[in-house]
Amino acid sequence: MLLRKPVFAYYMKLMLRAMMWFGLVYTAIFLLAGTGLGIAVNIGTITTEGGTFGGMDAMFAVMMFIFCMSDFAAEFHFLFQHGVSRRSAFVGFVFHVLVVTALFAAVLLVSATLFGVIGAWIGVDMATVLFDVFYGSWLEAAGTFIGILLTFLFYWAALFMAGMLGYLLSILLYRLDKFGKILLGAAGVVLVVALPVLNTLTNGRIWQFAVWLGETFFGRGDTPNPLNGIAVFAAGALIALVPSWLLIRRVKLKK
Amino acid sequence: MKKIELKNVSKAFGQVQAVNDVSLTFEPGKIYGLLGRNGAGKSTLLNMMTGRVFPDAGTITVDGESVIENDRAMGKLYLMGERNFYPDGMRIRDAFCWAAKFYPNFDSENANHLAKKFDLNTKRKVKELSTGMSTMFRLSVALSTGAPYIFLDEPVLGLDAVHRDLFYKLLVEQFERHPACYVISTHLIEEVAGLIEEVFIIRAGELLLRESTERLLARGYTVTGPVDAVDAFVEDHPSIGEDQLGGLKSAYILGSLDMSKVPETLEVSKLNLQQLFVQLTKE
Repeated sequence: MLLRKPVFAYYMKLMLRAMMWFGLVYTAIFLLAGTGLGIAVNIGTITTEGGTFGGMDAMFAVMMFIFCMSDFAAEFHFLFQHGVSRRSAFVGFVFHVLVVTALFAAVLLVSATLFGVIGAWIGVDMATVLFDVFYGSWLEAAGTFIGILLTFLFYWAALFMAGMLGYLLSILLYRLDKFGKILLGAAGVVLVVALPVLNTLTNGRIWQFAVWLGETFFGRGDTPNPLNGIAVFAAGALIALVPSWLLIRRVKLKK
Repeated sequence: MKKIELKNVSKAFGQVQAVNDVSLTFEPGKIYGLLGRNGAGKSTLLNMMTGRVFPDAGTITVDGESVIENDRAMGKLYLMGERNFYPDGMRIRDAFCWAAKFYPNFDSENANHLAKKFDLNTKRKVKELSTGMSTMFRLSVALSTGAPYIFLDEPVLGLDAVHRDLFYKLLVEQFERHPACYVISTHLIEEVAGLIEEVFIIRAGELLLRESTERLLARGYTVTGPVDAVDAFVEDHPSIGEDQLGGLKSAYILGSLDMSKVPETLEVSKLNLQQLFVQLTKE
């Protein structure tokens, strides 16, 4: 009995509510963009040396990260109240994230196409996704089926990794004591404040390094292969999964 | 054989030895009382039995299977702890629905019936419930799970006298319909004395006594009289505790008593469960 259906159903029910909210916010942002305000989208627009991309896929990934780190304690306590083992809670969670991210990847695929058309019409770049930045040339050369399949797998792996990182952080926060949480929060703040400052002090070298790192991971050359990106995201998800399991397998319920 | 069995179970939190080498069994078809003073280790014991806390040493089995990370064994248990583990935003009726998904024998009709008896509005959210109402809600779930082993840790927390009385009646009704193993841990000893068939008394993390309530009460006496007479009497009848008020002394005896050998100057009365508990567990 690896996967307990009620555990999966419970997580799906919670995620469904979050997804509904996300859908509302997501639609509202693009409606705003459509009316010419374009504020939210332009904030999310990032320019790299390779090109420009709208914030759509990044927004999906950030939302998945947030969904997966939301209130681990409440969910875990509820399941434990109903005789669910740590292993079943973990398996149920991972499995539901796999399903949800597959769904999100499909939505992203359709949205990117749809909003690409709308964006071109209203003159706001909403849908040039990260995938296009790295693999635009490959996509043009690939067949339609392979192109769609690998784009979908790329999104899926990216969203799954984002979700697993969120889950890891939520378990970490549950396991840490008060001092540990303060330390983790402080480290986050320092990072957010220090990185832009360091970037300015080093004449943009931090950002250049990030771009170089991205290009190294996602593939270089005239036509980098998206399998590189998929492998990187899958490895990232695995790296988040292993410590998550190690943290959860001996977790005791906090009073 | 169907039972929960703890063998030499120990658990420490830092320097504090919460449970020390405890061995005991619980069987279906009985209502047990798990008694102990604050910090005696009752909740730790219950948390270990339901897999919420890992023991440092010893084994815990449910119907022969280890309870550690075992869904099948854990699914046979339901612990209504002191703390509410339901999400704040969940409605009572939804909690009943979820309980039915996790516990195949959950009796939704009974849960709604109990909620009605407790005057609970099942449309209300968990966060809207007072302490007493939260207890009533969780009791409604606990008594309807259909689980073979049900643990009730402070089951009357926040309940007024009327609701406490109602709970005891509902528990007896439920036990007649579904003779599972019920383990009640409470400080209101006299209120449950008539319900529990067997008593476990825990002191400082160790099992002090395990006995049927009837037999235990049959062996408990208070002998009261002049100090000298009581002192002389307890030389042959070791006492578990003594109280003195002026020239009058009371000795608490746990054991057999030959009434014909009791001097006329002494008055003998039966000890109730709470008095026995106090004498056995006080420092």
